[in-house]
Amino acid sequence: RYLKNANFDLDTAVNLYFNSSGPVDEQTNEKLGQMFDGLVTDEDRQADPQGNSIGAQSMEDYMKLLGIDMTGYEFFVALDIVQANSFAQITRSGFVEGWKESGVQPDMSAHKRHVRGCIDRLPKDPAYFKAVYRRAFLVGKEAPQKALEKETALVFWDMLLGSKVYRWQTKNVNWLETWKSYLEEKWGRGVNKDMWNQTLEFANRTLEDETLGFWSEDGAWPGVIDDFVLWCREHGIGGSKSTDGMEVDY
Amino acid sequence: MPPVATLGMPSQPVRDDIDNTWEYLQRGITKIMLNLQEGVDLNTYMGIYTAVHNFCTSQKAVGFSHVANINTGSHRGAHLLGEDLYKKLTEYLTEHLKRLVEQSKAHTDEALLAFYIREWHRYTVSAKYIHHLFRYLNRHWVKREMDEGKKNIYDVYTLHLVRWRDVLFAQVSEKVMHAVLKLVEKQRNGETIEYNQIKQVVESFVSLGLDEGDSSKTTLDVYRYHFERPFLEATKLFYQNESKQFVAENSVVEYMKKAEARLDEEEERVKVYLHPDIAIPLKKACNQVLIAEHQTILRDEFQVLLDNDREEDMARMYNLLSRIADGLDPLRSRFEAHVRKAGLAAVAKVATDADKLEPKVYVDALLEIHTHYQGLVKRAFNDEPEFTRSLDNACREFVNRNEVCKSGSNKSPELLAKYTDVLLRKSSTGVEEAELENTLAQLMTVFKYIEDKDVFQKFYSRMLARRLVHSNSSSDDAETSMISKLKEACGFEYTNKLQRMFQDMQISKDLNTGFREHINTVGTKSLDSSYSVLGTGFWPLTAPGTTFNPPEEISSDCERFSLYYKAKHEGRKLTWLWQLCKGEIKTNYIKNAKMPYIFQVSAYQMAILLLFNDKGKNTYEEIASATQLNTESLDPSLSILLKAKVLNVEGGEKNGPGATYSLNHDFKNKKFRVNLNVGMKSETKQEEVETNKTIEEDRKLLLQSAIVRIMKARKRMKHQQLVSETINQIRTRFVPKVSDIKKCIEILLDKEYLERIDEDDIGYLA
Repeated sequence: RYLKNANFDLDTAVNLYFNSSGPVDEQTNEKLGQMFDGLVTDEDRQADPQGNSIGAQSMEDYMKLLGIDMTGYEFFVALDIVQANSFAQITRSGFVEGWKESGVQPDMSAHKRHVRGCIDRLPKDPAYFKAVYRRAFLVGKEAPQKALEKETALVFWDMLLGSKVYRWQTKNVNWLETWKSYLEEKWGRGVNKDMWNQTLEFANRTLEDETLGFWSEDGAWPGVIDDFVLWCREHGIGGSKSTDGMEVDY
Repeated sequence: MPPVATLGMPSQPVRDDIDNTWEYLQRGITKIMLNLQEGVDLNTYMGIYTAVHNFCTSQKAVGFSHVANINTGSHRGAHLLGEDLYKKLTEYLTEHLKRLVEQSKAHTDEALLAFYIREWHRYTVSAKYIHHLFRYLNRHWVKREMDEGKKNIYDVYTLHLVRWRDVLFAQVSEKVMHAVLKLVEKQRNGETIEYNQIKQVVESFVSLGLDEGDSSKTTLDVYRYHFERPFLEATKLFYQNESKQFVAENSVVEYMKKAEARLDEEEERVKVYLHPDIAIPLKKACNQVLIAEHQTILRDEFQVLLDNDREEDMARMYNLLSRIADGLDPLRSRFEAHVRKAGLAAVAKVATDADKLEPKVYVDALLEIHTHYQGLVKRAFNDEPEFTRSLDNACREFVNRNEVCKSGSNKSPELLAKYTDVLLRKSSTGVEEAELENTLAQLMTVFKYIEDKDVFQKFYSRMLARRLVHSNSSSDDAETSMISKLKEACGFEYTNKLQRMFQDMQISKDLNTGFREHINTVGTKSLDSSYSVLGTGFWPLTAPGTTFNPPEEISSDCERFSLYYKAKHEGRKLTWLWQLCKGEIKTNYIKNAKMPYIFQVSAYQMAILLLFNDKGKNTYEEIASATQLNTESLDPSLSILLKAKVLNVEGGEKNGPGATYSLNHDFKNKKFRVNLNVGMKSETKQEEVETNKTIEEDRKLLLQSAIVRIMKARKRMKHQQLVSETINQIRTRFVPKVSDIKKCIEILLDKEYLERIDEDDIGYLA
């Protein structure tokens, strides 16, 4: 479990393990609680008299403290650490649990260092990137809905898949732009969890094979991705050349 | 023991002198070889036998007195002497056979055969004698040699055969074979031959097949190599030439007859004078040259035969091509394509106007093709399962995808269901019970091919509901029989609702009886009414699309029934399906009527007409407010009454708001009982559209429930597997599209009944 929580980073997991029991645990809880208290403003107390959550403004301030660029993927890294389920709110429990699991010392400078470390890890660790990517869906969808608004999703994809840690682009195709323009043109609904998650899987595969040779009609891809591939072929994007080749092979 | 016996024979050779002994023996052997027919006298026979015995034992005696060591001095003397005798005999046979070879050169063809057979016969008979005469040698020296594993030592009889094989046969066999083949060719060309000769040659060749390992056994190697091989080659060549020429000069059909005759002939040949061992290779060779080498032209002819319906010739072709490997596959695919084309053409012929197409005409067209080609499969193709499958494939194609289906893929099941309705509905053109049963059975043939069985079910249940509600089903037996047929084809679930509908009708019957008794005991005045209580969910019926205020006379009776029913079944809710209610009213206002007319009307029409009991004239608005009917229900009801001239519109105005209606007191009709409760064309049309719409929805649900069922059982599954499993489960109802299944999986993922594990795996969430 520790391994899983630390996204299979062994050092972190070991830290976690030793930090997780006994008086150390108590102390850390207290420290983190105090840190969270420091973030809560009067405004937050109006919305939540218990002071167990902070709103958008306090969050922005906190992000500044951590040195996070909120217009990019870094934002999702931070939200993932504090286990946020909305990009307008951080809860006390998420904050305390999240930081405790990170296993670092409960003080600001250690936290800052940790965040930097995570950001550096992002391009090197696909599993971690996937976790952060999936966090984006959680924070992006609005409560009763099960899907992300299309507009939100498009912005998020820009932040995540068009960033310096992940560029969804190959030699001949700018996939991110193609994907976005396809959705603009053909997709009228929101983006559900499956579609969100599978988009990353699909992106990973396109980076390995820009001819889309991995795709097959009988595959498990969501319908929207199937349609996207067909649309690409129609427009001569990526696969057109290699499909001819494939036909010769058969 | 031995010396005593030999004393009486003055001409006996010196027992231990080989030359002497052999000279003596040779005389006897030659006599046997050349003049056996003259017989062998006992003296000669005994003499030879004894001489052999004596010779073989002579050294043995010496051998016993080891020390003496006379003659060759070896303790193996007996063996060596035996060997001398054996060698001498071998040399003698070789010489004899060489002479025969020389003699054979004087003969050719049939004469050679005669010579060969004669000499073979004489030689083998003699061999048997000599074998016996040399028994002592056999028993001791030969046996010992063989036991010691010496090669090329045989018992005396076998030695004869080996010599024959190596000396005579090696030189003559080819010529003999040549003569045999010439003879056979003569027969193939129609001449009568002395086939016994061939038979004996075969026997001789077979006898020469000696097993080198075990002389008591024979093998067919010699025969196979020297007889079978050239025979098969000659056969091939002969038929190659013959068939090539025949095909060039005759039609394919003629050729097939010829080939068939030839194949039979060859089979007969094996039976009459060839060794059974050749049967299979000969058949194979004949099949190869007579069929396989001409299969292309045969196949090309198949289309012609199909087009002209030449059943017998097709049967012939089937028989021929079934003899060669993969011979029938091309026929099957051609057959399938042909049947499909024929089916499509038959449909196209009747489908000039798809909208007005009579169900009967359509179904008959489908059936005719099926019956025709099923007959062909049975009679010409031996009812072979693969051909049946081709037929099924073709039928499935043209039943589900044809001209008519273009306008809507549900057309086939819809028309089929309609046809059953036509058959099962009471009608003036009464169909005989037996014939009806027969026709229903035929319908099931078409039903079997229908892919969208759910569509059929939808339409069928709608029409069954109508038949039951209007009680115009022609016979309960026929209905039951049809349902049991469907059940047999598709299972219990498929007909579950249909059966429930029948049950409801039965229960309603009892209910009405009870109600009637109840009314009689209470003693209230009531209508002569009958009610049907139909279970929601089993009947494809929906609540009326309009509000309705039933006339007082009816509503009070309904009220009573409701009370009666609720007393019996507490907690059940009754919804009145006014649109399905009907009744009769008797008129007493019409002038010139000898008898009062009786109108058969719908409940809506009844409500309208009863208003005229109180008031001679009613405006459209008055009628609307009194009945509470909306325009969609009111207008058609009125228009039928107007059309039948039961009502008149005052001042010739149009039917509709603002009009005033009055009774037509001069109503006239040939019949006393007038049916005014006739459905509008547009109504049934609309019903069809609705039915088709619900199908799509139902399919989605069916797919989703199948997916959930599978996942619940399997917990975790590959996406692709899930899709194919779903297809398997659903196929009995309709053929689902993969993309539809994928969509349903996505819906279930979204609803969190399922989850995606990794890229390809789907998991079940309880």
